[in-house]
Amino acid sequence: MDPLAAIKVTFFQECEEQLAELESGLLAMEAGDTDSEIVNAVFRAVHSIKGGAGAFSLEALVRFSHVFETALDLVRGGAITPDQDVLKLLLRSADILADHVRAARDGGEVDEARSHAMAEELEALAGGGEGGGSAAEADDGFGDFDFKPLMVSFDEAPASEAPATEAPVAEVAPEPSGRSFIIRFYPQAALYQKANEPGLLIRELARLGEVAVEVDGSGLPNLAEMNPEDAYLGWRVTLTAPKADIAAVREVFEWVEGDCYLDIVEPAAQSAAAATAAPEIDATQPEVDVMALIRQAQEAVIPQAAAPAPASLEPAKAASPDASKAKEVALDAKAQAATREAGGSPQTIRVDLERVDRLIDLVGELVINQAMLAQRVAECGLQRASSVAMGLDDLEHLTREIQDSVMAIRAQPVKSVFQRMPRLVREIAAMTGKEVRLVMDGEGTEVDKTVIERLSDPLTHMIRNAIDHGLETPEERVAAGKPREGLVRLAALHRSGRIVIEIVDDGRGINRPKVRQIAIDKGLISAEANMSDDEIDNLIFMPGFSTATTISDISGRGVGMDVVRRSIQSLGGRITISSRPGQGSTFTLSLPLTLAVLDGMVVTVAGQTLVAPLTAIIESLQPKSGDVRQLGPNASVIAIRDTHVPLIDIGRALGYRQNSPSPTESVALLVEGEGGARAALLVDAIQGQRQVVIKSLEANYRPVPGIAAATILGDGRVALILDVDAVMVPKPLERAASGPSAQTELAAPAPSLLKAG
Amino acid sequence: MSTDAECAVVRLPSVVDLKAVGALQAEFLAVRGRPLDVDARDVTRLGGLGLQVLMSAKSTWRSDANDFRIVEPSEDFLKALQLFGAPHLEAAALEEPRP
Repeated sequence: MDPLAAIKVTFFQECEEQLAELESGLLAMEAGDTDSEIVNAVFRAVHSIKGGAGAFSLEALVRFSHVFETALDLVRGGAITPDQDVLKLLLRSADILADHVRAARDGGEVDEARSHAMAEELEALAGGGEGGGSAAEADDGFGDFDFKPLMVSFDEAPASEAPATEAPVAEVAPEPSGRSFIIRFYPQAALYQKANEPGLLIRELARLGEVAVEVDGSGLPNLAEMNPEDAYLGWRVTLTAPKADIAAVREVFEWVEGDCYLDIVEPAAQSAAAATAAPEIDATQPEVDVMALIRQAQEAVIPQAAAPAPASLEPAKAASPDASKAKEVALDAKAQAATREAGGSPQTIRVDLERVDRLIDLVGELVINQAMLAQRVAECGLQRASSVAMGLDDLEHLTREIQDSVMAIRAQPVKSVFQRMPRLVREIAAMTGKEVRLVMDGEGTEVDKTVIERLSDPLTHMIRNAIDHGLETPEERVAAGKPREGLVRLAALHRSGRIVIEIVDDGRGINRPKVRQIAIDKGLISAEANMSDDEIDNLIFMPGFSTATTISDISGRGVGMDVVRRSIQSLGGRITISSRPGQGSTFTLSLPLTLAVLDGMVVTVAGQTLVAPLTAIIESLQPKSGDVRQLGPNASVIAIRDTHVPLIDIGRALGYRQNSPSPTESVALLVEGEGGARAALLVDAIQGQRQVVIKSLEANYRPVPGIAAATILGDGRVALILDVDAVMVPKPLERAASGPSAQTELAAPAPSLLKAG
Repeated sequence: MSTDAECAVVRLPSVVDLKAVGALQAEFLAVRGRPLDVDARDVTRLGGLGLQVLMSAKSTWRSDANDFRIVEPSEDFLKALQLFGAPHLEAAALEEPRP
């Protein structure tokens, strides 16, 4: 990838982050949070997107973000009051902005009419704001910039010479009316390349208080020698601000900090600190130009193009004749770094997912290797207390820790999926004419990235359903004594080593008579079927089931809840529903935290070693002869306490054998399928529980019905991991409907050919 | 501080930013050795890179002992100079136009 393309990729990644920031900020404002921090963050998000878009000449994106930014600037400046109507407009604008970003990234097209209409609304809003400058206007020529310069005499220095000695820091006495800061910043070329402008930064500083600006052209070369796109100028700004603190000043530079050399000093604080804590600094010593020192150090240490690093200021000690001052600079730089750290923004790096996956694969191999080694050692008959065995225990412990840590790298907060939902809710609410409030909890809950990626579609569909089918119209709600506004709650939490996601609505609940009638009409169940409420509710997961009498734009897209359930199941998850008429429905998804490892029960069936996912197993038992009843030639049930469940011989289901062994000589695993249906799986013996590394069968061989994946055991053999739902004989509901036998489908393959050599 | 050579005029574009500075530098250098009037009437936006080209040009012209003036500065141009804290260029801009 060429460097520009790589930067572009990073830009779009950052755009996604900025869009998320924008949306969460606007939502917080909508919820009544008026903290200026949030308003600023919202503005910055759009401003940053615009800046980057400008650098890449993404005209449409620049145009829209420009208009958006103008409106936000007026909100920020107080000229526009962010009431609910304004926030709704801003939220919809954020949606359009997201469309623009994605169109620019993926080459798609934005709905021009919609974008244009939105831009006009924003312009109308901005036009209604009372006066005040806007960032956009300022961009176009620093137009209405309300700037009261406190001009400091600036005697132009020849370009080749250093500027006259700077006014000593301590001599700039703070105004009695407020705090005073001296800000020196030297942009790097990257700052301009990212479409940032020093003028805007100065203007931002001027928002904090009164500023006096001096340009430092001491680094300017002769015109013939200069690279016009490189950065040579620096600025010294003296800011007198009654209310600002150093954090507020630093914040102005927040998104250019990596692209400029920055030094912020509060002389009053510094001189006070110097008086008490730094007696070794000789106050009578003539001051030297701090920035010149920094530059000297930088020239000595880093090439022009390299990113500045605070640590690189250290060599200034050696380069400078004034070591104590250099030390001060270095200390200040360290303090800056510490402030940044204390400021809470965690340091992150971007890593190609491929590299992480490769690491996960390797750690998986390590786990397998470690298990194989342990088995070999055990086979040698070494005592558990022997030093080799104890060393292996330590190795196992370490391996597990490495595995957990690597898995944690792939874990991401579900926020990335959740954050798409507010927009969805807004759009569906607008299309259906319903009033909806979305409440989200547990966005920080972490789960494997692959799980997150594959959660988006099912969640989208379920939220659509919850609004389209679940919630009533405002009028119906009022008539039912409910608030006009319906509630949809999306929550994530960790429970028992899995992630649980709930989609709750306070709508009308599942209309059971209607659901049942539809199922009968469509021939899914017989009219006589005696079904519990739960079973009726679960009918909506049946293929081809749709309760909508007309196909709506929203949920009627040919995707039913059966598809939702299948996609959740393919993630090793399950979905359940509970509904109360008139009070609403709750859909609960339970998913594994990772798709890379699995806690399994290792069992023997017809001489084969198989792994059953532990999450599906409720209990294991030894069938007694009186408990098993034959139902026809091929089916039997087993009585477990006060209920009967189908008894399925795994050996027959997978085609390993024709005749089942006697149940009393086997072990039954009571399992629960995704729909909540239970069955007992008959196996020959249980070997034990083990965490296994999942290897895709589809990627390495081909899909095998009844088998979810494979793993490699300690002895080097491949063991197949059962797809519990697939091997469960058709659930009672399906049997009542059409009675297709999964067994006929499952009998064909011979998975034993996968045995490792 | 003037020469007998004919005065050159370079008219600044409306937006003097990253995209414009390369051409501007070339335009300036093409008339080096002659007094220069920089016409800033069209400027609506002066960026930091534009400023540094102007400052460098001014000091280069000065070291060549040639006149360098900014004529007919637009309002936006003057505001930008003020914002950038560059009064010396502002002074150059406010000089009376050459007769």
